[in-house]
Amino acid sequence: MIERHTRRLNLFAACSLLAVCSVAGTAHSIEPGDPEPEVQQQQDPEIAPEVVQDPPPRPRRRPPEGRPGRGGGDEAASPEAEAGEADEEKKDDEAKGEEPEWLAITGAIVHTVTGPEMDGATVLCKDGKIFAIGHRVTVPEGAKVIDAAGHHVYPGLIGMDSSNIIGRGNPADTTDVYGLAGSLARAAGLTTLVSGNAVAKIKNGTLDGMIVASNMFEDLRYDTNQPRRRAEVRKGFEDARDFLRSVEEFRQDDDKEEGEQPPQERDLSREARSALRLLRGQAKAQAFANDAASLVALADLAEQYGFEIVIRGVTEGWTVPERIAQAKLSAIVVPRDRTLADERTNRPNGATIENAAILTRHGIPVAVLPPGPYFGPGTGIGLSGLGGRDMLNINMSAAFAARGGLTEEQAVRTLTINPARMLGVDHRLGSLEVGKDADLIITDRPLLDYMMLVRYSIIDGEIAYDKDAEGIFAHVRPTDPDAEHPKDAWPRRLGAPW
Amino acid sequence: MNRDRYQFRLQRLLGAAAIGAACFTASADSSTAEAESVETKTNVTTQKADAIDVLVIYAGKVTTMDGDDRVINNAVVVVEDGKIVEVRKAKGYKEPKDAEVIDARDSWLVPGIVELHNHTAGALRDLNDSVYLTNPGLRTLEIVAPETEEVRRAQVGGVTAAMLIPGSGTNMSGFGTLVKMGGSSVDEVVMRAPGSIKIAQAGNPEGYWFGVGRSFMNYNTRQTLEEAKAYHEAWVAYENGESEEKPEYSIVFDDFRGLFAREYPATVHTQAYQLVMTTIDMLANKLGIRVVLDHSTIGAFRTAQLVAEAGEENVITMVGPRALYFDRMDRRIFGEVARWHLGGVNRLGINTDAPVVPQEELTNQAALAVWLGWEPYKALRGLTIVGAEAAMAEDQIGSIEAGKDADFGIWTGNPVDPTSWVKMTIVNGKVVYDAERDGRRF
Amino acid sequence: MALAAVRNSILGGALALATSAGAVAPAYGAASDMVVVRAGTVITVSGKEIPRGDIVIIDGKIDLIGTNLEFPKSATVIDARDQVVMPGMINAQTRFGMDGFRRSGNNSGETAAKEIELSLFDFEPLISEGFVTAAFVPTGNNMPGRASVYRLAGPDGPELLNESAYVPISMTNPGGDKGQLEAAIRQAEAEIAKAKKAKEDFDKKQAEEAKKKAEAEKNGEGKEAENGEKKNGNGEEKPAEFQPPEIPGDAQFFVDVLREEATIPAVFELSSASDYIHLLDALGDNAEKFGTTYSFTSTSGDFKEVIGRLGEKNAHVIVRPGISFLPSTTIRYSIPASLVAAGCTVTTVPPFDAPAGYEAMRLRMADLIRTGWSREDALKSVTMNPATLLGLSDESGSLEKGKRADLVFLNGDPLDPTSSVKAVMVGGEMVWEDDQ
Repeated sequence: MIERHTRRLNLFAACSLLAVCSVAGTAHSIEPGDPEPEVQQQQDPEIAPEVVQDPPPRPRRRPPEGRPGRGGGDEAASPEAEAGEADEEKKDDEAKGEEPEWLAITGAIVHTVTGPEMDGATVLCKDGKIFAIGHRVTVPEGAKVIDAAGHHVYPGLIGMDSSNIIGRGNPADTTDVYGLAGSLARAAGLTTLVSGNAVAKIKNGTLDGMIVASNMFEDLRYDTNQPRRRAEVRKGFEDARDFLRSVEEFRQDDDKEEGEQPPQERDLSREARSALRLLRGQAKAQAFANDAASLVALADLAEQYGFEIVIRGVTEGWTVPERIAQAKLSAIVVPRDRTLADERTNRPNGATIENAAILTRHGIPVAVLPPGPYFGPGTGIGLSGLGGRDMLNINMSAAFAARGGLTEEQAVRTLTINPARMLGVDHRLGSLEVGKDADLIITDRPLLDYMMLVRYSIIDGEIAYDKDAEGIFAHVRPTDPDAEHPKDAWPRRLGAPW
Repeated sequence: MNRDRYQFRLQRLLGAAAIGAACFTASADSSTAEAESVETKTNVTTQKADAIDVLVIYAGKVTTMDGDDRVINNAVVVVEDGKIVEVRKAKGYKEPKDAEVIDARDSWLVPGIVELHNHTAGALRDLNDSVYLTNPGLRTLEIVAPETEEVRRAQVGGVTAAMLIPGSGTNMSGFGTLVKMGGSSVDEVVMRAPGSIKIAQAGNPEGYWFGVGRSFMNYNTRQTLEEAKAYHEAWVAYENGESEEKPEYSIVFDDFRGLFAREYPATVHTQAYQLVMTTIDMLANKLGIRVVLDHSTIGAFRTAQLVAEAGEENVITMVGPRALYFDRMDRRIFGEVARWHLGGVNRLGINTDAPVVPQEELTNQAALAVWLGWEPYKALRGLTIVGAEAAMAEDQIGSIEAGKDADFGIWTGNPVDPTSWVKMTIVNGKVVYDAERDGRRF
Repeated sequence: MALAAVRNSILGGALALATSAGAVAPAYGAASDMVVVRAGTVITVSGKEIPRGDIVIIDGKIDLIGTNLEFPKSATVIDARDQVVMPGMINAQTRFGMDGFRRSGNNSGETAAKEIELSLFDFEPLISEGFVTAAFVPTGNNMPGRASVYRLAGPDGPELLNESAYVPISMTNPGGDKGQLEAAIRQAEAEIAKAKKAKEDFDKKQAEEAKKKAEAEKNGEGKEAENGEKKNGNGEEKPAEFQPPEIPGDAQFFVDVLREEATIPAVFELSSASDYIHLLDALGDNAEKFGTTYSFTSTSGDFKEVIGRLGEKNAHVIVRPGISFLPSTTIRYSIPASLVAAGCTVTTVPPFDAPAGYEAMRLRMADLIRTGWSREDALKSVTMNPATLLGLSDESGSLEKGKRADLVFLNGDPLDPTSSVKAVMVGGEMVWEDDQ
């Protein structure tokens, strides 16, 4: 075990040593000659990542003269195509005489997530979309510029649940767009949340463009302890499959009688209609499952009928990662899950901190959620004071996944591109790519650093959270180091010592 | 090991069954545990007959947490019979032949973490015998269970000692016990009993009965303590020959003698400004008890000046499990610890109130405090030596110094950073958790 | 007690003939129904406050306001020189005393008047605090029905002035309200489309018939001339008139709004700033047509977020008086003052619908004046502004010539919380007096 982690340990040791230098200050001496990280070992084939890496980014094109350049889009042509559309839009705008809204973030360490990490690059946003990323981007005149030197830029984080931050049901109908919970979520770096069956941005004071996607999931209840329910689900899939066959037969039937109707969806049972959406790829299934037996059952079902499942929980996923990977399922895990091992069970079971890492190593997309406090609102944000276990510290859930063995890069993905893909919104969210939505956060430290504070959250190219303006965290490591500490409602007798 | 497992299950079943079962479980525990400890002792004696038990740990970095705040890189720590005998640079050191060696040259060696507010080291999760509003005489010693799942969780979080205290359902719910998070018998794990007296100021005890308010509760607590103090003073007078009359022994008050002799502190459930003020005034200033403020949250940082006035040697502030305070006057989130710190209080520690926050996340509590403005090194002190000071066991635990117990965590990095994890936990020189041997758990 | 004195003076028939060189009243005939109120101070609201002012009332209407007026001996004089007289106050939105109907959905065709059985109502708590007129809103969720305006007292008892004054639409619970509002708009659009189609069908049919007729005439020329004559002989048939399809009562208001033919406003109830954003979202492109009248059902400080936008549209806002705080802070915020500063018109209603709410109202308003609201705006917010909102500005809301003589007599300034209402006059007749 130790050997398996050696390489990472060294990295950690190196990072931590750096950390302690700043930690310790002058209170104690640190002697030179710290253990150097050994030469990196050959990677153990057993732990070699099998994750299919995104293709390396294409070289950036030099921007034509006088025009803002555009940076390293990766993957297929779609972002390019969208950028092309953006150009057309620009022409349209010009034709209409409307000035586009430019926002430039300069000098930061840009974590594109799907592409390379770029130190000192500029991210240029136009009308709420990312227009260019790169070192040679020309910032157009009149653009709003955020000098983010020494800061980090990440895509806005995506929370896979929301209990009290945005509204329930249809968030566009129920969200308090000026609510404190929204501000806190943006302060935590979240820009998008899942509520009910919708993906919604945590917009500030507006509902425009709030809903990114809806009806992306069909609930799949396939519990091992409910055999009748499982039979119903399977029958639903069979019926849906038959239905598709008969639709196809009807289509190919050359001598239809006049007035003969094709098979009607409304005649199907609810389970079958749900299954039909899954078989047609119109939705993904969403299921809760924690024990290995349920996970395997879901994997079997998905393989048999060929559809995708996003599973919440997945506590024992680490015991059957091959099955989950083979069926191409996705997992939403709680890294700090503390389900006890049942000693009566004759196989590995219970929760482990390494779950996210093991699943990732097998190529399973993983998203993370916080554990929720002992008494509190679960996946919302609570102000009862029991911190660190809700959405306000969502980045620490990824950090705990890193504690369990994920690399920093993989851990960042659990809050960005992985959930975006699970939700089918990765064409707009989850990474910094040209053409995607300008939803990003500017942080004072790396995302997984426990002292990280968000400086700005930007949604659709607009500043939706500004640490200094919101006040919530403005006094913690203030931007102006000479700023006074906030005064308090002090009892007069005690004076005001700070 | 099999027997241990059986025992756990038995405990769990019985624990769930009824409160009455507690006595049975506890006795069952101690009897089996005793049997086991006999075995262990036998082993020890045989070994002792041969040679002294030497453990040598090479570490990339040792955070000693000693009086000079020394941090030694490339160090070696030598342990004999469960006690630290030497802490030095590794260069030039040669371990004895038969010594057991742990090579952690790529890791940090950190003192075992001390938890001052824990409800999980017993056979039951908690002791809340809400018989009277004050229940002097009750003690958690009776329910100590050396190897429970919660103890294992503490080990994987690098916690090696904890003050197992009763709950806060009444103003005084009994005496706590200072226990080690490693060992298989009650005798082995108990460091000191009583470890503290648990006092709860308002808040939770208000649920005891209708009409019980703060005035009465303070009066009642004071009454019990005054009686106990009188009992103690009578005995002192008798022992010093100042009085000829031998006081009558009282099972209710006898355990209080150590409290007034300042051999152990009162761990006080107290939070919010007014309550902490009362605690400091009544217990520390008027009754002369050494006080550990055991929550110190919900804006209690406003009493920072009072703590300074009372003296940090008399009042030690352990903050938690609440980490943040939402200031509804000004729409701000304060770190509870950071505000104490800014208020000028230096002796600050952290607690989890486990299981309110899981025991293994004690270090994460420190991370949260630092996130909101505390200092990382102070946080590491708060997790270790300050906890030991609060427990009044700083001569035994809390730092890596010659003469102290060999309680360590071997960490992959700074324990305050949640991405660091425990590779090995050592209690009294024995490895109680080894991620490689036992499987990684946290 | 003061009122008793007034009564005495009336009964004694003591005439006070002012003869000084001030304004001179026009020569009155022997109008036996002339009443003259001689006040300590007259708060006209529309104009200046007049110290030692006299109000001349003929046939229940104000004829003249001035000082040192001359009037005939036959006039009844009410001596209220130790009192302050102001216009009767108007409550623009109340559910006081209404049955707790729990209906929900679009009931905008209903009216409060249908629920109100006057014989069962006791308006004294309102009248004794100076309210002369009130708009009652039906109970229920979403769109519970139209507000009905009553004069709370008069020579012949309470009187219904306007059964349908405005349409309250709740947006205080957007999760439920939004869908209902959208549904109501969709229904109205469907009705409009139906009417349009009916008209088209009708026109088409008419055209076809005309064509047929023309063809028939063409074909049958000569041959069927007789028949044709015969037809004509039956008398000139009236050209068929288009009968638009009937619109359901609950859809009528929304149809009118969408056609921009509505005669009464919609009043949107909002409990927080976010509700306004949801309202705009629900109204979509039709937002302009629905006007800009709102009712803030809470004193939440987060209204600050949208008050600027409301001001740009010169919205009319009904508020509950009370000091607000910016969310999660102790920073005080005055919603009415901010609304006025932004360019809105403010109407105040009691903080809650209970006698205590009516009693607390002037105190709460005084609080707000202390924190930045102007006295003039505060007075208008219970008189002129609600009168405008309810379409009563021709007869109520201020003391001006031609308006109904609805007066409130107080023993001090109305915004001095220690003052109290001593008597209330409606249409020139005393309807209530403090009998202590």
